[in-house]
Amino acid sequence: MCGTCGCGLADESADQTAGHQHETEGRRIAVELDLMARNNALAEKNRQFFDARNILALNLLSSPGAGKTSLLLATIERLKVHMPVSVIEGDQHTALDAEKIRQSCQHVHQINTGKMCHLDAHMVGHALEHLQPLPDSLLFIENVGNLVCPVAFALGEHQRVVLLSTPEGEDKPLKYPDMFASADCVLISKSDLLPHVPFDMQACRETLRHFSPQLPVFEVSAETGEGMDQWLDWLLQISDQITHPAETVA
Amino acid sequence: MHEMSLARELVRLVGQQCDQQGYRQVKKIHLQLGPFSCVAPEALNFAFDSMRTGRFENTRLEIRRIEANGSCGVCGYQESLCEAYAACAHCGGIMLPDNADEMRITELEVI
Repeated sequence: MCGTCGCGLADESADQTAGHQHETEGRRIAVELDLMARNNALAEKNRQFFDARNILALNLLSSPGAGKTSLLLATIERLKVHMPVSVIEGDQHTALDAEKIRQSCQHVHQINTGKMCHLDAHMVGHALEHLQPLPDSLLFIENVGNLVCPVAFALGEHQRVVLLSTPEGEDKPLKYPDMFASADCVLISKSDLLPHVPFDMQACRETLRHFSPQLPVFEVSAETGEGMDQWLDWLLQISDQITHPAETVA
Repeated sequence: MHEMSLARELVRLVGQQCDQQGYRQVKKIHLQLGPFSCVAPEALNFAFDSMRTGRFENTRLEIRRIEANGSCGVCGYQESLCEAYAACAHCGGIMLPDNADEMRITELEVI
């Protein structure tokens, strides 16, 4: 039986727990048990699943309400002429997001985390069994809206995309540095609201540059389509690099 | 409260050791945390409290944070860190912790 959810599947990742007895008479036992090893091993399995099928997997993260689902809908509309897209939706409760996505993409699976505040590699592994994403496709994994807990849990993704919406304020990266330090790309969403909210774009970009000068940062609006071309170009470029590495080098 | 997942994993890993080695009770678990690992010790203790049954009934968690090393996200300057995400002394970039994620059980005290 699976040790995490009790779902009846075999637990195949119990191989990293070998400890050893330090002194035969003693009661203090030296061990080397990594709390993240199991998640990381399952994330690696997910990664092998993606790589075997030439699938680019992106972990999409933000606080609740930053516009992940709206951005996904706008992205899928533009992307589906280039390649098949599938989506794993993570929310604490309801299938509302999966239903929204289903309007433009049939390949969608909803995970409800219940009391959990993040997706982990184990949940995503089971979601992949249901979803069966197509080869040579792009998979978005929309994480639970939360700028803290999901950071520590690798899902097997190739890249992490973190959204920050303009109404949230430019200081979010300073207040939640773990999340933004782990980002491979940052999208400043709801850019159409810039005239109406006190958001200092220059300060925000300066902070993000201090994390990494190479970090791609795009201002996007799912509503007006502003910035969507640059975001799409980045996606297609990453997809080429990851799913056709040999051709890119040649 | 991702500490709930971590507490559950802690119990699973140590329980597995007990099954393999025949330990009946766990008195203490020594846990080593990276300096800026995403764990609040008090939240982990709180989560662990709800799992105090059987061989874990009287278990104490001994949590130790190890020293931090960091490197600047802009110029790569390396230094031991007192504070995560402090400004780099050389260029004003942000000092990123290198060994932040570590969460390891290093020792058990068992009967």
